[in-house]
Amino acid sequence: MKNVILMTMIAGLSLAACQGSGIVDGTIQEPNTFVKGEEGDKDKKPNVIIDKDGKVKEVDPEIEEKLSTRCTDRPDTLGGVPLRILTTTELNLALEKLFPSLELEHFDLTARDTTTGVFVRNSTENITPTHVVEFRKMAEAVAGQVHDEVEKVADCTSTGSEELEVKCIRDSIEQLTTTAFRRPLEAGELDKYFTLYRVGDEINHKEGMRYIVEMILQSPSFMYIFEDANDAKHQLSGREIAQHMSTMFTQNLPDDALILAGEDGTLFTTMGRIEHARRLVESDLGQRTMKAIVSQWFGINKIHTTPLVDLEDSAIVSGAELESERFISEIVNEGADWTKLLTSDFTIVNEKMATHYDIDLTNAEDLGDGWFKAKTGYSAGLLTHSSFLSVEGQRSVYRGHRIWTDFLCGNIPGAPVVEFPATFEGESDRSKADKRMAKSDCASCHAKMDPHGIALDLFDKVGRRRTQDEYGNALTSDGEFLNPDGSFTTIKGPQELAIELSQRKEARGCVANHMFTWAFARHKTSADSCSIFDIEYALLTNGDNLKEALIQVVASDAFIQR
Amino acid sequence: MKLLARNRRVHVSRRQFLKGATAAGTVGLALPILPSLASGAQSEFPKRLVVLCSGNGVPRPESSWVPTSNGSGKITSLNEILSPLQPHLDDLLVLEGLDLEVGKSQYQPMGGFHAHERGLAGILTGRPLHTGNFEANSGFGTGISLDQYLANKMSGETAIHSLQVGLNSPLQNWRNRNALNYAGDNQPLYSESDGSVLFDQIFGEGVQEPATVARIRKRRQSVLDMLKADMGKVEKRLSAKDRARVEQHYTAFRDLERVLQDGQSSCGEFAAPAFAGRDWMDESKMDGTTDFQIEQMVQALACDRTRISTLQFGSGLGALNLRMIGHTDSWHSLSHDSDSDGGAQDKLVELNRYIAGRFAKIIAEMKKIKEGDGTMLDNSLVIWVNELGKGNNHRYDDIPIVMAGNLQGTFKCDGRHVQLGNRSSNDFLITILHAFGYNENVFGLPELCTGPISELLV
Repeated sequence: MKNVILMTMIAGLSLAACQGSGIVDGTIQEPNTFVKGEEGDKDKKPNVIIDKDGKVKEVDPEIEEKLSTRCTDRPDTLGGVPLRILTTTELNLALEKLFPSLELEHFDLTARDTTTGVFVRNSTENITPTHVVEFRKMAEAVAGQVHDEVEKVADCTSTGSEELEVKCIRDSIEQLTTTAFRRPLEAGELDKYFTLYRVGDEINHKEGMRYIVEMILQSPSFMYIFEDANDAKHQLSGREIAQHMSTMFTQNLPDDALILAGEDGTLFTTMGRIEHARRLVESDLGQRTMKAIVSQWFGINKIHTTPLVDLEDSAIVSGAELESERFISEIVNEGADWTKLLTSDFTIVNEKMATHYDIDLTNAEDLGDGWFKAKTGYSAGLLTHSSFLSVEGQRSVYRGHRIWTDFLCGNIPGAPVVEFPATFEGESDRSKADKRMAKSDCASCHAKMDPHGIALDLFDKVGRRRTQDEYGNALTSDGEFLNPDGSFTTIKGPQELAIELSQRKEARGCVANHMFTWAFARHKTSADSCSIFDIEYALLTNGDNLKEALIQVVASDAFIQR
Repeated sequence: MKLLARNRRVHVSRRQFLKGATAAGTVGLALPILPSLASGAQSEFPKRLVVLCSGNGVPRPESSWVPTSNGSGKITSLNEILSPLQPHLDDLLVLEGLDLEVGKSQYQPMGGFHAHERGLAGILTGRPLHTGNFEANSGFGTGISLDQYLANKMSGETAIHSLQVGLNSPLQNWRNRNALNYAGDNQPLYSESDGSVLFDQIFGEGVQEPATVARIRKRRQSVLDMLKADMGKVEKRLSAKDRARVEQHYTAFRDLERVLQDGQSSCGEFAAPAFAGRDWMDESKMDGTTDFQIEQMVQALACDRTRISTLQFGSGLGALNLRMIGHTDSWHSLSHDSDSDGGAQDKLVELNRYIAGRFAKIIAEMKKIKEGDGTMLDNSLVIWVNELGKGNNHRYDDIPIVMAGNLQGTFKCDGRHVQLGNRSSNDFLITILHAFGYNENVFGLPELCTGPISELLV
């Protein structure tokens, strides 16, 4: 790899146009390196870090130097999680947990899901009247099934006496409501629900349970995830800690062990939280959640919604998604090292995808079910997957934009309100990029996008290798990587792009940002720098293991403060 | 109603149904003439507002959009894009020279970087965006939109506060802010493209045997009573900011309740499609899905379930492709191609002509509803707006606006083309307020308001 090259066209950058995008006072900031004076004294070091075994240790200055984040004023609280509404995944898992003996349909509310950062974490931004109608449809469908199979949910008809029958029904209602609402019932609450049951029970028991289930599944106590904002102690309750950890690690309602740990005080201890976090992250749902985190980060499932993909061949679309899912599974199952997502030299393909990529399966490992583990010819992991490359189409500016925003956590303002130059009809992406970069107003932002994207130029919009573009222009993959000081490092192809990304501390800082966003379902603020520092520290000291990074989030005392 | 297999019939409320209303010609709809009510004056019919919004401006506006008119402004011929509106020429008012000033940088003090988002949020609010954050380029809008403002004024008069109808409009799109409607500062409302959800919102339980309907209503009302109580309990545990957020949830509960209580009698029947398996976001099937969305919206207006509705066609920044007209291109990408790229511009003209066809469909459906001596269109204002003037340069000047209906004689929609000479879109919003009887002289940013545009009003 060539060393740093300062591109002459950058010398005259107009930085004003890109304010708020990582450029302050004329220098390009590393994403998590806060401006001195704004974040406090950089020389003031945090005293301690909690390691993976829950032990408190002095921060190692040598490690700290390798981090992009600084923590100078450790807060007592992490500010809690914002009010949000269940995601499609969370809803369906909750239904499975509430009604394990029913075979429920999958309710697809993904069109209503919203993202925070790169993740589906649903905020309250998307609560609309029709959203409430959609929840009613879901609730009535489930309640209808409960009505038809009531014996699987509340079999109270053969208890022998009216008194026992009432007790059975009340127990069933209490079980369902406390599980769904993630809290014990208040005084008189069960009586109120039993009264509702009685209205339906005027017809029969089945109808009574239908009333109850319809109410539960439309209740704000079920639909919303929130913490009590009016508690003067600002400390989460054991139930709230359990809820937070459960949604964070498994996207599900808390299991019995976690609820018990919340109630008996275990979750108020660092070791207690770490042990339960480790248990959850290694569970089936925990593994599934970790794969979802990676998948959403890389935008794998967006292949279905991009209009640029060649949708005529649905086998390629589904094959590409499965390829990435299988690849992610392998990485997550074997150490969850995020750098390997970028640098692995293999992929997992079926014959259709092998043909698509022109991969020779002769020496591939047969994994069964028609899937093979094969060398790609690149060591660029997901960067050369169709699912990744197709998301933003083949234009290098879009691909570069993703690299900058999702892997370096930089910001790019939207396209400016200017008279665009005439389209460079028939020109290569490189030629277009050169012209944009030669214009200082454009280069201030495009320097962060185009050079990174061009490193992927040898792949078309569905990830096939190509040597020329649609206009017949010969292509190369000689991109550049923007350095914090505004200079560029030359990179050739996806492999060197992957190396740069996996070795840059600002990229690791970006991973830490992502893990924070997932854990708290909100964007970071300047007050969160110590949390992100801790995650980044955990990544660096634990082989870049994403699971350990997420576990680190719950270790601090501040985690249980609101 | 093409494409729609009728397997559900909904009895729509008559309680507030309009005096003398009929719906001749609407397939699946049978609203009887009520002679005792038929002679009411026009003013006894409610005023309605319908706004269709599309994105990315219009291509080659001078040659493809601007109509030809004579010296007095009377349109003599419609251009390529507006040609589907020819049957309704005498009901139209085509505006030029209306500028979406609030989209311009000097009125976006908090950033609001993305041109499309500025335009989309600004066209009905007249206000800028909040600043963006780490991942999203732009924040949400900073004030209430005109439709919501008017709906609030009419609050309680109809079962449903307002409708936000999506025509393949995404609820969200990655990092972009795709909301046209705002209940207030930072309170976006997304348009609903799933016709089955909208159907349930408008027509409630609808359906079936009276005894079954009564049983469903009783259950829903009992459950709703409990839910409202639970909402109150949850609200007490939320921060003030979050309480404001869930206010929309409360509104939804109230709407559901009113639809329930409104369902004591029927004003007609409306045939619903077979919903199962329908992909409401499939561009290649937009003819059928948009027809249905428009028809059920008009039916909701006809039965006075609501008086305010917007329709959002796709999203300028969204992932919409052009399969509805036989092309696979991305709308947004295409909109950035240069004026000299004839192929791209031709496709954009074709798409905008398609949207004009949707607008024509709205007008036609409203004309089918007889109200007194006229039609529902006479009591309504129907407007087609855009988030931009032109897509490839993100121009905010010359927003293409087409109007129809005269709102009980308050608007001059009579086949004219009016050049407004750079009036602010805020003034346009004020003009609409005046037409609805609210003589307010500020809407949105005060510095962009000079008062109603007199040449548009009778």
